[in-house]
Amino acid sequence: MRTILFFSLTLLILSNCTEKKTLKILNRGEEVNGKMVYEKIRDFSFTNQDSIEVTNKTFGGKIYVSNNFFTTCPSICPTTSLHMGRIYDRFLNDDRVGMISHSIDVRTDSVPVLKTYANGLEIEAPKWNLVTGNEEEILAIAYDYFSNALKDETAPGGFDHDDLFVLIDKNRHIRSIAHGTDPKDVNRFMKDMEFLLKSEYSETK
Amino acid sequence: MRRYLFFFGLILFTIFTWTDCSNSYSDGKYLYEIHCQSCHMPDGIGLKGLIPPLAGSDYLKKNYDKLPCVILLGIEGEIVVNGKTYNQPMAGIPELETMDIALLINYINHQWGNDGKYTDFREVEANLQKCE
Ligand code: HEC
Repeated sequence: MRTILFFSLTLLILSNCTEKKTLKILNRGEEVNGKMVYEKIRDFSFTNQDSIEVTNKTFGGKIYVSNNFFTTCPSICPTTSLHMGRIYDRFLNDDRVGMISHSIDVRTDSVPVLKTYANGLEIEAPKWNLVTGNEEEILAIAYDYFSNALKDETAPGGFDHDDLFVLIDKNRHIRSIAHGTDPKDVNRFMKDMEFLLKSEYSETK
Repeated sequence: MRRYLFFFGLILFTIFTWTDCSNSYSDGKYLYEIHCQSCHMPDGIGLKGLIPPLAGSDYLKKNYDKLPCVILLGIEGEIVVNGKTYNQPMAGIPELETMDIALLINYINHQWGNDGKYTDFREVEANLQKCE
């Protein structure tokens, strides 16, 4: 009796271990003609710290990480920038990975201001794009990235936004999310990135 | 008997004030976490070329007398920390009391391997008179 129990336990543990990791598409989806169709990131066109246009095409064939920030944000942004910096360093030489940080304070964060901030962060486009653009478009696209970005006079710096990092696959679908102020969560997120790279780039072969 | 009680009381008093002293770091830590950590980071490393480090900062030693004003009123313009130039304004935290500033300075001067001077209420108050 005891041996049976023991064996079933080991089996249980083993089967648990061998369960394959997957990254589900997190967007809302519905079945159309027997196929799942998911919502995806809309078309966009913004301008980065080098005055170069950044669109969905910039990330064509790539996976990319998106977040929101603004250069004068006193609360969470230095921390999220620090951890975006870790992602930048880790994937610097991997051209399959792109990064975009939307400034939600488009009035203050002109292209030269973004350039100075990028220099301070010691980062460069096209790997990591700090973008500005039409205010409505920037605040609206946050919705597609499951993020909050709202004007709020009472929030530190005048904007209310969250610390989310969002991982987008080659088909504009969201595959992973992390709290950019939580170092451990960002570690997990980077593992998800590596996993996605492996699975996305073997599917196509 | 009275004398013994007096001494006993004195010993108790010293122990209490002592434990109170060692508590001053945890007060400083608490103040650091709510007012400074979001920029200078939990381990005091700052942020690349944007925000200077407090851990191992030579600025803390060279500008010891200025620290109360930096914390209360902020700092603007180019500064050099450990040979690296920074130029991003830091807003002050005007709601801090003199005692809070002393606790903060003692905390950052004795964290992350820093080994700076101890300050106290009177010294901070004197240095605050010199703010520009
Ligand atoms: C909004 C971000 C921010 C916050 C919050 C902040 N600092 Fe700073 N701090 C900076 C920046 C940026 C500089 C560089 C200023 C410059 O370039 O002139 C700086 C410089 C300093 C310096 C001098 C340089 C160095 O690194 O030794 C000290 C000391 C300092 N800060 C202490 C503090 C303390 C203590 C607190 C909390 C009471 C605090 N700071 C809160 C951003 C911040």
